[in-house]
Amino acid sequence: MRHQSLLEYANYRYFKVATLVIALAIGVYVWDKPPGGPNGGTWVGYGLGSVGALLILWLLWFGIRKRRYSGTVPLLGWLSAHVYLGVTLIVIATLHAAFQVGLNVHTLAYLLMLFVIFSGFYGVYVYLQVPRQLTDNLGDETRSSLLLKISDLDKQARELALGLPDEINQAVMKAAQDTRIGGSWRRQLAGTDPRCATAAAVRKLEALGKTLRGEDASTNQRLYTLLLRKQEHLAAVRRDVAYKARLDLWLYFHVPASVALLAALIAHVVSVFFYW
Amino acid sequence: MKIQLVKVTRSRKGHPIRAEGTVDAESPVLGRGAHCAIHFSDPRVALEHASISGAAGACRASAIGTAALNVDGRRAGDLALTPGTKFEIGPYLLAVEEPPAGCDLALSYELLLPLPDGMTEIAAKSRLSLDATGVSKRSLAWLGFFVILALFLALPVFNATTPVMRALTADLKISPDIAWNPGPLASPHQWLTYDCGACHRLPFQRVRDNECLKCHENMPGHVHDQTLQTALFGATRCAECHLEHQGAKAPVRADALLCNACHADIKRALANMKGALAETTLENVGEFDAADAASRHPEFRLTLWRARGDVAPQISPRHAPEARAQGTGRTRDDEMRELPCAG
Repeated sequence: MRHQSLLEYANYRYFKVATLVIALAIGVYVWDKPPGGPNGGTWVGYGLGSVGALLILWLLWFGIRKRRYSGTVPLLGWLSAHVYLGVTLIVIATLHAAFQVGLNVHTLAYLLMLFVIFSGFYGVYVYLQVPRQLTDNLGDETRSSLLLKISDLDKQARELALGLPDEINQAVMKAAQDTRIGGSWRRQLAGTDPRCATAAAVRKLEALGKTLRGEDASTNQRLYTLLLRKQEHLAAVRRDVAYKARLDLWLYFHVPASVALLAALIAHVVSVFFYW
Repeated sequence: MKIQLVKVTRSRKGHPIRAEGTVDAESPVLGRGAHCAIHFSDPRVALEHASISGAAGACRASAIGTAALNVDGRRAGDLALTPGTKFEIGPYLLAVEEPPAGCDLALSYELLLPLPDGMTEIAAKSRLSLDATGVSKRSLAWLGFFVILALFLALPVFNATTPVMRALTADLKISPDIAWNPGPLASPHQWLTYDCGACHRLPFQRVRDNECLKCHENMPGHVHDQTLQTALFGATRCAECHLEHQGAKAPVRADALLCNACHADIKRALANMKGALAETTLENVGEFDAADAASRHPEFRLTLWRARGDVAPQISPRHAPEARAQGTGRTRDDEMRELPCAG
């Protein structure tokens, strides 16, 4: 069976629903000719606002629904609906506000909503792109299996370096002791480590290897090969961390902004009726 | 030189387990190198770490090159190996013991700091997810939620419901509830922008006419006859037609719907009136639409009553002085004209 993306789910079912909702909202807005012009306080304005608010609550519910494994609609269906119905909010909320913006909590809610939706667009892009990169990067391996291999290579390298000069032994020991993967947000997203101790050890072995002769030179060559393999595994794990960070990063904006939107929405609705 | 070498390991309960052996070498070297007489298979020990020299009872250990012998945490280049002496080579603790008969020296050694497990070490030094950096989506979300609720809900509600706060903030350039203002007030009312409570007296209730009349108390009605004014507009709030927060040029309802509500069937609208009103001779206006040029009815709108020659009504002297000075507090001086149907 062909893999179905969240955008294509059920033959674009929620795309069709979203198109219908948008068409209805535009139709009602154009049809209505309220005294004083359209605004959020007309009956159509209240109607669009109510639909928008309920839609926001339903979209927020996805954050809870996705943690549950049961349900009649599969999670992919929920996600597809989440994306397409989220898009309809741009039209519904804009028509609810009747294109009016200002320096107030109402526009704050509107801007937060747009931020949540557009960060969601980036999330959709990431979800469509990154999983393939993750698979291509690791192949048949997993992050744990690579870490195990790295640890095993460190052990072999340490043993091999025991009989070599102290400078090489220390470089190998440092490469093992100072192996760090990821780190700060920047380091994780970069997927590289310019201060990688293993890369430094490889460079050192290259340089020192030229001074060795006989058995030591041969051991050093084997050691060098081990460290190169470790370096490759490290690069793969660092790329894996980077892809995972890219998968997660947008959620650090999308989720807090969604919850902030809920607060702004509450403030917006209460303020409208408090000062009716 | 004959040395008794005792390797000490520990049982699960921490009891020492001793494995004895002997080394017979001239000036034995301690180090991780395979050629060393006393061999320590650990990368933290130098290839050739130290050498032992001297005769029975007067043995000495000397560090080689940059390697160090540590005694009680202090670096020592050379030390006498008398029974009871303890020193460290890398992660090993060595202790000089009383040599048995036939041996020049007795040394025990114990690995104090085993090499950490590679996986554990990497995991301890790595941060493999954004969550592991200590920044949590949940805490960011709660922060945003409460900051917004505090600034844009709790503070304005507190201001609106606490008379003392309201009085204190009424004259502020930025009042706590200014963020609730959905749009600019009509230009005559803009001096009230930061004093929401001037009009919005009661929470969750629409603006009452009482608040309008505090300033506009001397205004004539839309109709000269007070009974008719009350009958026609008694149930209609000022703010239903005088729309606010819609910009400086506040729209006033003058749409066909409003006019046609009564004038489409004026006789029925006035049927419950007493006297001459009930017998009005006004014609029904069924095709009035201000926006429609083809409308049969000329454009008109509701005005304030004033007799010919009257000056334009003035607003209450309670209006803010600055508003009066700017002339923005005046009501519009509309020209009244007779309609053919007004018979």
